[in-house]
Amino acid sequence: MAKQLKADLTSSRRNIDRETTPGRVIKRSARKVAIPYNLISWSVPVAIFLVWELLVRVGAIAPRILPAPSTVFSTAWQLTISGVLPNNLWVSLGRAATGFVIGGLIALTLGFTVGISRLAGALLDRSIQMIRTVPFLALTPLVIVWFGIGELGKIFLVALGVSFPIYINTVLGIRQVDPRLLELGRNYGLNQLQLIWQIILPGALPSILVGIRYALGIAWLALVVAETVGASAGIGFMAMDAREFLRTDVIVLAIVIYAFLGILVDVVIRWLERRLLVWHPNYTKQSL
Amino acid sequence: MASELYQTVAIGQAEGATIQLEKLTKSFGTRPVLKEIDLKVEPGEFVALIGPSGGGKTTLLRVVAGLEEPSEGIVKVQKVDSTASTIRVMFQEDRLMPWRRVLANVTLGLQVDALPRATKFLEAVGLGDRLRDWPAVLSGGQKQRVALARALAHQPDLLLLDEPFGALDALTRAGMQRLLEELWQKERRTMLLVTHDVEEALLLPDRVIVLQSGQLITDLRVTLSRPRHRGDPWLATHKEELLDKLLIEEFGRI
Repeated sequence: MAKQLKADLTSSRRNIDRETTPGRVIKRSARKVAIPYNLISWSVPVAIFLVWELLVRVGAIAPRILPAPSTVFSTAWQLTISGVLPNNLWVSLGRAATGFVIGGLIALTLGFTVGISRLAGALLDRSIQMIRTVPFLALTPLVIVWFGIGELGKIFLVALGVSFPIYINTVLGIRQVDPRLLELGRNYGLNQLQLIWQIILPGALPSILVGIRYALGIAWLALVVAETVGASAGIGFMAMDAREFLRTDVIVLAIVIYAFLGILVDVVIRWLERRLLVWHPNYTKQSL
Repeated sequence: MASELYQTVAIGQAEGATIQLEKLTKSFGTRPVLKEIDLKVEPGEFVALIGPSGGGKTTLLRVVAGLEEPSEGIVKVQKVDSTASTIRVMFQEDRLMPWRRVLANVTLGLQVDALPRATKFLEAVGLGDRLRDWPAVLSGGQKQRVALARALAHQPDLLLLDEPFGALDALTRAGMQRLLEELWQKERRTMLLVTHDVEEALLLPDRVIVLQSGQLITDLRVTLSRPRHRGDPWLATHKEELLDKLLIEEFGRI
């Protein structure tokens, strides 16, 4: 009985709300109708692809210069069936992942050491910052001399490129942890390890994730360079091999795959951010 | 509301640590902030420390808490049986970890078996239904209540409160004050409340100490029965007296 009454009350209140705010409702819906954002933003790239296809079909662009999107797509299909594409993709992914994990672990370890210990900072930070100013891709010839064109050199290049953004953002994140929270942690009986695990790490995590996001972009860049310079497998090798035979469609395919891998990585890192930073008001409301 | 919390402790039984300060001096650089302070606080005593801003209140609290080293003199905080005591500070800012949910914030630094206790204290501050929330969605007053529950869940022998209600609106502040008094009456731990609010200093504690220019200038016992009323004549008279004293010291006139 009472519950029924309460339900009646709330439903009538809701009705009142609706009746008293018609002006706002109309205004908001009017604004939404005015700009169908997704439709417009997607229609532009679709139009570009259609024009591209059309230009190749009518012969305005020679297929050898730039093949039609449909040709690239069918090439992708054929190479997938024959197993060439999956094999090379697998090799590239393996290199990127190995280099990323090695470089990332080294960078996190160094970053935490330097961020937490003043002595370690004095010992290491200046040297690391000096090495950082060298564009790491400039080391490519040296890496080939050191490691040859085998796997080790490629992984080394990826690991090196990945480590700087992660290192810098880790140190930055730790320095930005609120000292008042650390003081509270100490007063509430946390030991050094608990301080690191329960306050410093979560406090620095948003910054660390920014570093990881940067690093993943650089990992691809390093991979492209390493695989293009000399390799016997991988997406970059596939593209260089195709150049010998003027298979422009395969070259374009390789470029498209690099782009898609970049998007994929971005999706993964966004998902990770939303999972790990649910507490952070800036990330919970973020839509993909 | 919180009665089931205190079954193990007889109501009103004094517990907690003794504070003993002897010729305590604290300087930052060449500027002395605390000058040769002598003070003794008995176990279970609720002391308010008031004074103008910049008078050294917070510094005194931080030295007692062990967050700052004294420049000279002796600071002793110990239990009746001379064993080491647990000291916890509740700060003016809530200092909640934004990455821990409400309950996990209260259990910070506690063992797993403290979970029921943490829950009970959150219920006592009226947040029993917000255990799984993130601090970001709480209001300022709610966050400060979580901070109070966190301090109490540690069952400190000495609880130091550094202007804990300073940033709250009048209504929330009154609620928090009542809550603090209730909780203290049921579990008599030693408490030192730093405040700039003369009324608050007379309303809650047993004893009011005035700190001015680094020296203790007044030590007043409040013997009014509880709960106290803001309109109590004794309280009103002493509020005026204390205010006058502070104003004369600070501005040279009333």
